[in-house]
Amino acid sequence: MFEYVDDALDAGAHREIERHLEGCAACAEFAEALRAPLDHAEDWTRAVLSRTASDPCAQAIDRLPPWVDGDLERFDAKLVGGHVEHCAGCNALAGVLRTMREELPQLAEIEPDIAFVDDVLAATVGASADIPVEVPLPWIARLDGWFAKLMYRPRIAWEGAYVATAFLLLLVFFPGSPLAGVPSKALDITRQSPNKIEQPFVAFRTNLDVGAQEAWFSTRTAARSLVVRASAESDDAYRYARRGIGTLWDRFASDPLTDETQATSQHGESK
Amino acid sequence: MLDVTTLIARCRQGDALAWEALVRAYQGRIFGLARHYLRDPEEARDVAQEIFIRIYQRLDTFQGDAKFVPWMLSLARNCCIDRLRRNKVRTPEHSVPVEDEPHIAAEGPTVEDQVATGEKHTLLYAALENMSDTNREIILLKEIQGLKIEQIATMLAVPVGTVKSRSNRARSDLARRIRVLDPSYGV
Repeated sequence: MFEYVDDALDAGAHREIERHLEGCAACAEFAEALRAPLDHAEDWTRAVLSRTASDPCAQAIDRLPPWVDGDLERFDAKLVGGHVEHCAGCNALAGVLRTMREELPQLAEIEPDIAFVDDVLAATVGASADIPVEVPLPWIARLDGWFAKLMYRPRIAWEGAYVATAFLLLLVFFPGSPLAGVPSKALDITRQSPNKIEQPFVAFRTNLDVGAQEAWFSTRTAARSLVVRASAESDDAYRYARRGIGTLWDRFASDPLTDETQATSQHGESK
Repeated sequence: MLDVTTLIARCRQGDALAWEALVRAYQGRIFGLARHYLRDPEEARDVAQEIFIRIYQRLDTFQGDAKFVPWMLSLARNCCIDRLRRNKVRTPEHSVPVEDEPHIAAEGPTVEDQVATGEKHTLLYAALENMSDTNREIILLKEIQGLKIEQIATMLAVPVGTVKSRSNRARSDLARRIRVLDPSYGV
């Protein structure tokens, strides 16, 4: 390229380069820049850079924010500073970044309406003091969201009925389930007759009556035996036995007497 | 402004005056963050109130050695994102796909807010409008709310290096957009 610009090439090479320049804008620009006087060094530099390295602006823009903040390493800061000094676009962008840094924090606070603080106090301090305001807990809010999402599904009613039926079937009617015999037992209970229920009670009463009667007869028999023996011994023994049995004597005497006891009582009265 | 550590200690003791002072000190910041995340001013107000209720409930869990503002803003961000996700779930008729990252309101504050904060902010809001959600959130947390990179990395659960690179790209992106809207800005 330098020989071309200096017309130091032979005719063939010269024509070949000219043909190339007709189709390559970058090389044509480079050739033009080489021909330009040295006071257009800035364009020349840009032309060289565009022909050789990648776009330096893209790399400078990536480093502009930390450069504006003063967070770059010294060497990188000098590189970026050197580029910004000669690049109007990046210089302007750096200015925007500096102004942004000053103005963006002003967007942090937006004052709400004057009733906001009162409403917050009523929902917090006022709630804990006098007014029982229900403050939703975070897990309730999450549960609410989950439940709302669930209820929006149109098949929820069918799904719920299906699950409940399947659960009931497995619990009660499936062989081997823990409550498998409950329905048949319940049916038996409802079919039971009153006699079956009363039977045990009647038997208890009968046993009680029989037991009481047997006790009475055995006690009376024992008492009468004592009287007979006492009478056989002596008058004193008879009177002693009668006195010992006490009020029971009248009861024994009032009962229907057998031949034996009747004879005993006549003997005692005559004495 | 009163010392935040003392205010929080008093709030934990049940001092209602201290709590009121804390709310007044940070209501602008919390409402501003909510407005940047949510479109509707009424919804932002509702969320801002919910944020303060959560702060009130969780004051006992705040570790005194940590900074209060990052803790508060992290809690506020979570509330805003929860509300954004709930809104998407509750409006299925719009068929809004649930994104991995929440959509931050592209529209800035209302005209009244803009008048209140000055017309110079109109340009900033207009430039923020067309940014991606990721870049906009980084600008919101770092440049607007002033959080440090390490704090943002904890909040977003990403490495510090990721936050740094995202921040640089977001700032360059915003600067380019501002230049397109107003070439004289920053000159």
